[in-house]
This record gives sequence, structure tokens and C-alpha cells, in this order.
Amino acid sequence: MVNMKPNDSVYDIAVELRAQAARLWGEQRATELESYIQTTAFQLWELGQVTPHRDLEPGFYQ
Amino acid sequence: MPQPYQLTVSEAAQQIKDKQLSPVELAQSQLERIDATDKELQAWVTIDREEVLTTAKQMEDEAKEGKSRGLLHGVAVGLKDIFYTAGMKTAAGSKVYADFVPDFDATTVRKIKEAGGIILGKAVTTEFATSDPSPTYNPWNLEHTPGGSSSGSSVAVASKTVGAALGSQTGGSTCRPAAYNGIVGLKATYGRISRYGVVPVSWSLDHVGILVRTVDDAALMLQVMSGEDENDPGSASEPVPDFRQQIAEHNRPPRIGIPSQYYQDKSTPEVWAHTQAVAKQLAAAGAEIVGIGLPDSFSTAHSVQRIVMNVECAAYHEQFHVNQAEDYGPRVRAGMEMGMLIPATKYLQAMRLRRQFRQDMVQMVQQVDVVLTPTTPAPAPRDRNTTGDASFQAPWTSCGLPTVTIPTGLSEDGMPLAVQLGGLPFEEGKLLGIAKWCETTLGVQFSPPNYS
Repeated sequence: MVNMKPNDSVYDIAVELRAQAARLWGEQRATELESYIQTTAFQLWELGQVTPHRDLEPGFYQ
Repeated sequence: MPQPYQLTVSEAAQQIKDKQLSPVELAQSQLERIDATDKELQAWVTIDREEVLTTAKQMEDEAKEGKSRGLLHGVAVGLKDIFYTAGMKTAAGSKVYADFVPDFDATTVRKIKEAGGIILGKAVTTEFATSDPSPTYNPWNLEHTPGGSSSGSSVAVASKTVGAALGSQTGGSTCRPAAYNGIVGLKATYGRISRYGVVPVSWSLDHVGILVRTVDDAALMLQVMSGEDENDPGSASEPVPDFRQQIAEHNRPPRIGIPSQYYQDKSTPEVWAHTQAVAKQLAAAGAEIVGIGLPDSFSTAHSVQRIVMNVECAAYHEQFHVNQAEDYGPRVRAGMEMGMLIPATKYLQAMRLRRQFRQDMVQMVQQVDVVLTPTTPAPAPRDRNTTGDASFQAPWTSCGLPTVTIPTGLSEDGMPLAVQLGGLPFEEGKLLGIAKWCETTLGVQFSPPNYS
């Protein structure tokens, strides 16, 4: 399970994602996924920079 | 006298109704056109000629008796190869679905048939409608990407092998290839057109797309396919208006909002200068052009869209991935694997931000009649290893608002340029009316030089 906190840096998030990828699919696959992991880490970090209003519920089918 | 394959959907339907054109003649002309072009362009993957001609003959006999099943009577339509077709292979451009033959039609396919339409065949899609490039070629220049994921549908329409084809859009997969190939693309409001029987990328982001050569044809196809569907949990109960009547009501100079931040920064100088020239031409014809600001939530919209897409894609493919991971293309596989790594809390945070983003975008569009942006940051890249950049279309997909792209000119190296118009939810009639006014005012009518 990926362990991620709201204020983690892009680097911290990437380390977590990479470790989980290695656990699931092996070290070689985790290495192959490196550029995707970096992109996803940035996207998750960017998401973490915004705090949704406490009353805001998710929208599924809009 | 144009060849039948050159006719738009509206023209062909009218001529069939007036008994000036036979559906068999039209279908034969389109099949011959496919024979002449598709070895090079590779836009089509499955065509059942016998079935096409048999159905066309049936439509012809009915037309001779003065019968009409509906708006598409006798007119052929193409389908991206992710739309379920009963008894016809739906491979989604993949090894995983290579032998999949659905036992029912997608709701959209059923509606097309009920309106008298003929399924001409299945057009090439990128694998599972994601970003591994397809083998299809751009008819404007074979060295440039045709875009994706609706690459075959877009190229089929641009090269006039069919007047209308269905695509889909999860990020920018309808409007981007439409822009790259110089045709009209429509992504209606989320929920307007049923997704039932369409191989999903991401349930909450997927939209059915319409690829045609005129705004009138986009309205016609929208009329045929719109409406609530109990089989699609995302389907909306909004009533379906007469879109062609609404087009007539809104075919006049509009108030257009242009957001310069983000779109100017990310566009090439040529694309931004072209967009400004388009705005100037529209203003000269009576449109009111105003600058508008994007909401703060726009800044994270693309990341939110990617997170949601990857997680939902991972959920759909999880079982196949266990045993067939090697059968996937590198990008679709990596995308779903990223989705498998993203915690549920982050997915739900993305969905919360997405809801806020939709509310903010509605408020922004409410200031004007439509919002105008370049459809893409640059014309189709001279690189067949990419499907292009989704960053200008994806935010509109994420918030579910309707967009239409229309061709507006050519770049210095002869590739199509386009603008994207965005409107309010379920106001496609107004959006298309304004798009038609822009289409008429700009007067851009072109075809790929080698396929005109």
C-alpha cells in the first residue's frame, strides 16, 4: 500500500510510487516506469497543493 | 457534379429523400473511395461489404416507396472500433480484445440504425482509445501524426471515405484529431449521448464524439444519438431539443470570451497569432470579443484528469493485466499501472476538485455566449510516434462541458489549424449555432490536397 501524506514533496511521492511498483512488478519494471512515476508524482503533488472545501463531495457522473 | 462520396451527411440524406441519390450508389462510391485511399491511409480496420450493400439495397427499396426510417435513411456512418456491433468484431485496436465479437449493439449504434443509417465499418483506434499511436496516416502529410485516439474516424472523414464517424473523448481524442485533420469535431455534454456498449477508458470521463465535415452534420448526428439511456449510469435525463432549430436561432454574432492566460503561454506563436486573426475576423463580422480569466481550479485540471483516467482505466483492465500485461502497448500499460499505484484517497480528492472545477467553469462560461481557444497548442506534429498534445481539450472533458472544434486555416507548412468553442452544459444547440455562424463567417472549406 502506498503511504502518502498531503504535504509530501514530488521526490517523496516518487519514492513511494517506485517502491510500490517494485513490490508489485519487480525492480526491472519499476525502472522501466521511471518517467511515468515522475509524471504521476508531480500530478499527485499538484493535487495536494489544493485543499477542497470541507463540504465539497466528489462528483462522479456530472 | 460531385461524386456521391463527396457529399456531406446532410446533403446525402436530403438527396436520398428527394430520390436524387440511391443509397446503393452512395455506399458503392464510398467503398470504392476506401479502395482507392486506404492502402495508404489505413483508416479502416473492418468492413463487411456484403452487409453494407445489402442494407443499402433495403434502404433504397424503402426510399423508392417513399418510406423513411429517420434522419439518416440510407446514409453510411463509420464507427471507431470501440463501439459494440452485434456480430462484428470490436477489437479496440488491441491484442487483448482481438477476437471480441459483441452480441449487442451500442446504444449509439442502435440509434443510428433506427434512424436509417448504415454501418459502413469500423475505423482504426489507438489501443483501447489511449495514447499508443495507431498505424493510420494523416492525409494532409503522411509524415505528421493524425492524432488520436479517434485517428481512423478522423482520417476517414477528412479523406471523404465517409461523411460522419463516431469517435470518443476521454482527454482530447475527438477534438484533437479533428483539428489535426481539418474537420469538425463535437464532444457533447457528459451524459448527453449514451456510452453503453462503448469499450471504456474511464467511465466518468468518456464521451462519445462526432466527427464530420460541417457543423450542420454535427447537429444531425447529435439529434440522432442524444437522449437518456437507462443502461448508462452517467446518462442525463435532460430533454432533447430540436438542435437544428436551435442552430437557426443562434446563428448570429455572439459574445465570445477568449482566455489568454495558459492558452497563449502554451501555444506556438503561429497558433496564437492565428487565433487572434480569427477573433479579429469574427469581430469584424459583428462578434463581441472579450478577454476572460480562467478559474484558479484550471491550474490543476489536467493533473486531476490524468489521475482519474489512470485509476479508472486500471480498474477496468485489472483482471486482464494479471495474465496479459505483455499484450498491452507500452503507454496504455504504463498508464494503467500508474492508476494501480494511486491511493483511493487521492482518486477521491481528484473527484472532489473536479466537481469544483466544473462549477467554476460553468461560472466562467456564463459571462459570455461561448469561450474560444485554439483547439491544440500546435498543428499536427511531424512525428508519428505521438498522438499530440491533449492539454487544451482535456480540461473541457474533465468538466463535462460541450466543445466543438472547427477548421480555421492552414499553418505555414500546410497543416490544418482550428479553434475550439466551449459552451454551457446541455446548451449544444446554442454552441452549434454559434459554431455555424463562425464557420460561415470564416468561410474555410478545404480538403487534403491529395485527397480532395
